[in-house]
Amino acid sequence: MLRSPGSKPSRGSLVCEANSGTPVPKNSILVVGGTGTLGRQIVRKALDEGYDVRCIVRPRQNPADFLRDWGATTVQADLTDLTSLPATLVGVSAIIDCATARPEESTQKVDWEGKVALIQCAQAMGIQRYVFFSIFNCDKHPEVPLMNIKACTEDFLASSGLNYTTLRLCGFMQAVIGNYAVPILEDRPVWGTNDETRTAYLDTQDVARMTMAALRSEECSGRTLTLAGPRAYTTKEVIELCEDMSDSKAQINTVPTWLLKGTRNVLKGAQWAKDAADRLAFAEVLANNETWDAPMDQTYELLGIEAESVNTLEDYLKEYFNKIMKRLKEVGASTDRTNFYV
Amino acid sequence: MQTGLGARGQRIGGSGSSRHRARPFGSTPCRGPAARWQVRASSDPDKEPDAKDLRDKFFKQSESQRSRSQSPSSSGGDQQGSNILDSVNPYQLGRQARQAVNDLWGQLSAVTAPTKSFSFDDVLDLGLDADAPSSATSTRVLVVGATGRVGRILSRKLLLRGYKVRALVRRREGMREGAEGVPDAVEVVSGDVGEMKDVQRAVRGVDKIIFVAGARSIFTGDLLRVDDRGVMNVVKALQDERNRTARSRSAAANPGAKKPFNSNAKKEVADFNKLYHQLRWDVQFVGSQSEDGSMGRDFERANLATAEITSDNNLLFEGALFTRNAIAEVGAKLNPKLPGGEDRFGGCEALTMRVKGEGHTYACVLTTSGGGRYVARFPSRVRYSTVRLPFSLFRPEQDGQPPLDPEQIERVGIRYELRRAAASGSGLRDAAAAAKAAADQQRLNKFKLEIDWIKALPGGVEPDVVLLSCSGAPRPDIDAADLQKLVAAKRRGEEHLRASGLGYTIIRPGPLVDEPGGYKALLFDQGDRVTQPVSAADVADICLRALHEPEARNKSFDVCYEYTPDEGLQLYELVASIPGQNTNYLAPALGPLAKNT
Repeated sequence: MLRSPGSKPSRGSLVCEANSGTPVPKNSILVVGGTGTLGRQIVRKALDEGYDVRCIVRPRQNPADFLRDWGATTVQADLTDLTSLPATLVGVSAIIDCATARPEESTQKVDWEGKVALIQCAQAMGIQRYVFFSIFNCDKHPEVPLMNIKACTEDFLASSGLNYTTLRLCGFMQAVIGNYAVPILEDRPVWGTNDETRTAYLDTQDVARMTMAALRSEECSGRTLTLAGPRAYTTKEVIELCEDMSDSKAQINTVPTWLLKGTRNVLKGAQWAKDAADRLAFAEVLANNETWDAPMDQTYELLGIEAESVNTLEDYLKEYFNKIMKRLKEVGASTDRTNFYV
Repeated sequence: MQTGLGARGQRIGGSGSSRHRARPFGSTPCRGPAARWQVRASSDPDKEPDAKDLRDKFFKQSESQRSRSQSPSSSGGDQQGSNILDSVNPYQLGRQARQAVNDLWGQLSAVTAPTKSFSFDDVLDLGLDADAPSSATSTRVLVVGATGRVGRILSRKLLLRGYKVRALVRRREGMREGAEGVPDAVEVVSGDVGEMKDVQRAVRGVDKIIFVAGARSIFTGDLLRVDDRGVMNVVKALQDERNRTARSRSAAANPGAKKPFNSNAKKEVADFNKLYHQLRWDVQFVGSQSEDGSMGRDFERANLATAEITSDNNLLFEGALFTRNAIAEVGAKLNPKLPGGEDRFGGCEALTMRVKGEGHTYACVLTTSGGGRYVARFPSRVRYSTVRLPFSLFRPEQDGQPPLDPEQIERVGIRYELRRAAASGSGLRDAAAAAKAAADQQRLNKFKLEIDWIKALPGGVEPDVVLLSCSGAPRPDIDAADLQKLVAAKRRGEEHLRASGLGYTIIRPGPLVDEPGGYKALLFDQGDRVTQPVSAADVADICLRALHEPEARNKSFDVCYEYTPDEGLQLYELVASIPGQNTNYLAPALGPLAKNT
């Protein structure tokens, strides 16, 4: 940083530098999918820890300004446009890949073709570290297209020779808000299933924390870790929790899993509805009544994270409801349900 | 019927306007519960739901209908007619049916999606602001050196916590506006920290300043401009800015009425526009100080001093001193309470006065109820200027007295002390030099000082300026002689800040490294003993936390990564602390460290 007057790099040292390739700052990382639920928390956490963060955003009229407002740099590229990828990796030492297809996009194109191209690019450009997000038990459910693709990507990444870490996720608490808490607050019906699948939800902020710890730790390279929350809940339990905290009753529309499976089978028959059928494929997993949870003791130790510091769903929901009530009071909103303010 | 419809039309209009008002989530656009409640709240809960309410509930209102029902000119009958027509319109029915199917399909696929996609608008952004103070969004912070190693990280951290960030960025050839490495959300003021005009522009409206700039080279000029004079400029500009806002605020607070107590406003010590002070202030002493420091009265000598009120209502303190060690002092006894009843010096930390002199050095003398006299010297200027004297600058006149306790001040005075003109050159043999010395002595004999007012500056709780300095630990990128030069410049900068009376925190890190922060234990120490490096990200975090940390006010400390001290040095008390995201590690770490350092 400080230059003595008159010091100049010698010609010899310049040649040496050129031969060994351009040195890449260790602190620069690329986040793919930085606008997503998890991605934005990772961007925030990484910026806060002092990384130079670059994010891939799709070329749009209204680009994701919030990422730049936080101090990340954005580059325009698209996982479905393979030629746009290599340029984004220049000067990057690690990639955190938390992108996935949006509901309106093709899973095959984004999650498979795009990711394969990205991994190959990373390989060719000598990226130091690749963190990939996958789904819990994705290798057990080849019948679900997205999970199958994730499992295949995991294998592809492991065989690529990259210094990788795969993190398998169960579920985000943030999704609970959108799916259950908001409808209950708004008096809208809540849609649930009647299965006994349990999910150990994690706060995306905790996931971001674990991700940055994994990125830093050498011991995590070449490993697949499952990240799970402190406790697993069924859908029913989550809805009850939300009802409790908001002090209101939810109208629950229960969709039986057989109906989902049946709809899927009907749709599968029609070629034009294949995409739609794929989207219902997850019903097969639900019907198994699995528990999406994993022992975390070893993972915590590996990442240097204390178990008590991980947010529980109860605390998370409590904070959410407290916050929303406070803000509503601030704007002076009144409601016909006065018992809200008890 | 007519009245009912009228009421309904009003309700819809009301809901439309409340939709704009009800955005409780800051900038994130919201279609969350609040907006819906507003709609519902404005309707009468006891009223039977009529057909329209039911329709609202089950079918989405089309845009055209809404605009029609909102327009005040449309009559009730018209509206009713179009409603009936719409409900049997096959086109509308088709749309509604399709929407219903879409909704159902959306819910079905949402229930089964493993990667649940949902709109972020629905989620309150519970970001890193958990550990940010609630005042963050109303605090504007100026970062000087935002493109540097620490500054880059620091400005991002501030933004993430919702601060308004301004950066003073140097103009450089070929660089676009909104300099490289500075996020778009940062307000950029281009200019040089060495230029007072630029600094004044940057400081306008700023609450706090973090100074993390450093010279780019170790050229003497660069060091002087950035590390030394740069800090001085920033400090002065902030003081002026504080002054300006305090004045405009007190002017805005209903003039004429009794002024409400403002803890930020300066407290009056003497204002010579007021008869009260005009009468009280008088010459206290003229004469020579004997060798032992005690004062003997000698009015019969030729020494002369007068204090009178000028036509501009200023105090003119004038005279001529001739005898050895002669002094003249003007002053007054102070009422310890202000007219409002509060302590005059309670919670204050500096004196400030507006004076005009002729270039001589004067001394401000404070006498406490215990009889101790404390002196701070200041140079005067030929034009009116404001002088600031922090209480920490006052030294006891006699040895062995305790440091000044502002609460005990009883008397305030301004003193002129006659000193011999410095003998120039080889001595007085040179006739020209002798003449010059005589002229100097003559000039020194006479003094003339005009005083407009004296006020006490209130203290504060938090630091106003956080300054990033450096420790003296050897660094690989710079050799020992240059490092000495650099450290000397940094220390001079620190001195400017310390003497200013502003709340400060001075951080002296070990050599900086580029590593992610928050993983290694840090060590806080005083006394320039640190040897280890520290990551720029950790230093940025300390700067950020110090901003609202009362423990950090008026402290200077070293920081580096934890290490095992060398043999023989373990005796020193070292304070180590592990930074964590949500725990405030700074307060306990800084607690034991000495203040006013």
